[in-house]
Amino acid sequence: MKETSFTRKELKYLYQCFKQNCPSGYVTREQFVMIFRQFFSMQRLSDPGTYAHLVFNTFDDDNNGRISFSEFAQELSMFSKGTIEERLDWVFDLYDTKRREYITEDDYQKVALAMYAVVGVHYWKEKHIPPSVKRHLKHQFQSLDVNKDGKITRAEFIEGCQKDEQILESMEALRIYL
Amino acid sequence: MASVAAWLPFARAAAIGWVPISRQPMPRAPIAIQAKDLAVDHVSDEKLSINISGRKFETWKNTLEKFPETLLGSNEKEFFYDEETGEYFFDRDPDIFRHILTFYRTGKLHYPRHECLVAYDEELSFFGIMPDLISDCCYEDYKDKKRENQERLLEERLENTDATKLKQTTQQKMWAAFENPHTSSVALVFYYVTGFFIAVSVLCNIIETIPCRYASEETLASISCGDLYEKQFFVLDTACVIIFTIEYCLRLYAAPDRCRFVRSIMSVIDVVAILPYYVGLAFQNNKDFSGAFVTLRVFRVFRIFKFSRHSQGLRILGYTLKSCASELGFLVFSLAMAIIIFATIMYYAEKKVPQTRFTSIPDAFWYTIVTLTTLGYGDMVPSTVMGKIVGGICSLSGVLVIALPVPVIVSNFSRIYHQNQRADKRRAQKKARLARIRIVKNASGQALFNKKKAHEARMRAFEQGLLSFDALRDEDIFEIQHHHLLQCLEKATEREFVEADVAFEGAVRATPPLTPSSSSSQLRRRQSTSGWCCVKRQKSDHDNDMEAQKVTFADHNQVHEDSAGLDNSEEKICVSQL
Repeated sequence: MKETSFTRKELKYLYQCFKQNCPSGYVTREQFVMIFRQFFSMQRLSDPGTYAHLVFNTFDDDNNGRISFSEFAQELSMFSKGTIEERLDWVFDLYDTKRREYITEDDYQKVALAMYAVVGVHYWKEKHIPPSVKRHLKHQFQSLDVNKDGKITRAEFIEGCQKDEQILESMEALRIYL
Repeated sequence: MASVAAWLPFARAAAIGWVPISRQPMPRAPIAIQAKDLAVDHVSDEKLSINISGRKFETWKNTLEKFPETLLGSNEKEFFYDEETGEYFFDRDPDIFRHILTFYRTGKLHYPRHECLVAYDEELSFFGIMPDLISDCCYEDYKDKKRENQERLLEERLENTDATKLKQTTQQKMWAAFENPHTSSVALVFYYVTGFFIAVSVLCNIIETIPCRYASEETLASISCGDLYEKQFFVLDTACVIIFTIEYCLRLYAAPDRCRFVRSIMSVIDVVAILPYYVGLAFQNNKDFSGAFVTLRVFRVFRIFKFSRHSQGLRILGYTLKSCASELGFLVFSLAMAIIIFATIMYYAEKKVPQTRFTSIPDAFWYTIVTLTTLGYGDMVPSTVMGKIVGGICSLSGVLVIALPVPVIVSNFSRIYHQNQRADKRRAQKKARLARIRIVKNASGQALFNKKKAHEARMRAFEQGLLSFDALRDEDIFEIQHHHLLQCLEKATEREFVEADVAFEGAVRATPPLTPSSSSSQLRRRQSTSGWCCVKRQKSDHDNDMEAQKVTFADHNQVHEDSAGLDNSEEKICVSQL
């Protein structure tokens, strides 16, 4: 409880639900994907798996393939009570799959594809992506890439996002309440 | 599901990953989210106490509300709420309730193997849970048991329809006699007669071909008995065929569904058994057909299949073979494969040997079959080393291939056989069981009747002012109303409910009715009206006038019939069951 900023009650509730769903005390990758699927399976073709994998990677600090309750609670407390920088930090981690401390356009595209997969729109190959989407992604990327070197570092990312009104508003809208 | 409610904040958190790449801004969060406090809402959840026949279960209210279409999840449980103890009381089986509660907790419904299927089904339907929700781990078990149960019910229903004593037309009686020879002695006689004639016919067939006498001492040509005593055999054959024809025609007449009967396998066998005779009669003088006529005599052997009506074991065997059709098919198919493979190899191995018997692959088939089934006649043997090796492998694998499907067939046969045994045993025990149950029920019926009489006496005393109102407090209001209802019924039907003796004991006790003259006169009047009665019954002679005729039924309410002064006229007896 010291690491997180949850109250005792909230922590109790979280732990009860966590343990009820995962009696072993850990969430494995498959379980995580299944839980995600329960939330996001709106259509027949929708596959939140890719996105779930990405999220799982960010949550799993020690990379042992499982999420323990402390990791879970810590991340959740960051989401609910953390600052905007912390959250943007997390988003950066989400995009930076290879832990290279910078994002390329490829990473950007990967996350975008995962997002589209959740709604059931699958772009299996590069050439299937409609040009409008490509353009939009490029535009977004370039607006964040200040020094135009094809990579977005962490600092660039956070700064750029904070300048963007739309992004800030959207983050606020997705604020979680426990 | 509420159990993943904890992960919802998680999912919302994960969604912020979409933000930088989304095309449009996210919609505003609804105010309701900000106002409510998810954790507090849940942690301050109530605990409910459920008392099932004394065993207490406690759970969160949320857990039960996961399935609002069931009894516990909806407001229906409020009907069972006990204000004094603050818990929900159900008078049901606590052991099965355990599984139902687990269903609410984990969302998985399990079926315990040691519980009776019917009891479990009843509990599920009481609590409003569909049996289809049983999870996969236990579902097959459940379905198997359900199928067994339904088969058993079907058997019982069939038996019960046999036992109904409805009057049948001649046709129906004949059909029943044919199907079940134990229904009447005529049927039994018929059964044995046909059996005897089938045996005679088959024996004749066999004996006809035995050589009786040698034509002459030099040649060893023999004359079969059939040729010698041709006339006698012909007479016997004719007699058998006449009996069979009569039997077939009678069955055809008695069959409730002629088309189905004609298509049934037994009737086909019957027809095949008697047809050759008639064909032979028709073409007797035409020598061209004599060859065909001889062939047709082969079909006489099918008469032996008529025995399957007489033997239940044969029927079971036939049924088993039919139900194991897939295993048999597999056996045949694998054997065919093995035969072809081995025959081909043998042929090519033995081809070069001079004077070999393996002149073609189909010739090798015979060798392969004989070897696979480990018969080994020895009329064809391989000479080359290769051929001998192949022959060895062939015989070894033959044992395996045949031994594999056999246990399946055997187990099927055993299962069906035992089922039949069980059905027969049940039928035999049924009479004794029913009799014992009837005794017990009569005793309780006796007790009910005594109580009723005592109650009536008390009521009368109360009305006459002998008893005070307090004394009546002990009377159950239900009983009072029940007895009043019975009295109304008595008055309406003008019949008296009296104690009657159990029919099979034989003793007849005549108890005088309350109002002898009025009831008997009304009875006579009722005779003429074609009123509202159910069962017609032929009255048999009775010596005493006031002798009561009892009609006993399975339940403990009996009807007393006053047969004062009535002759062999048909009475209409009203049957009432409460």
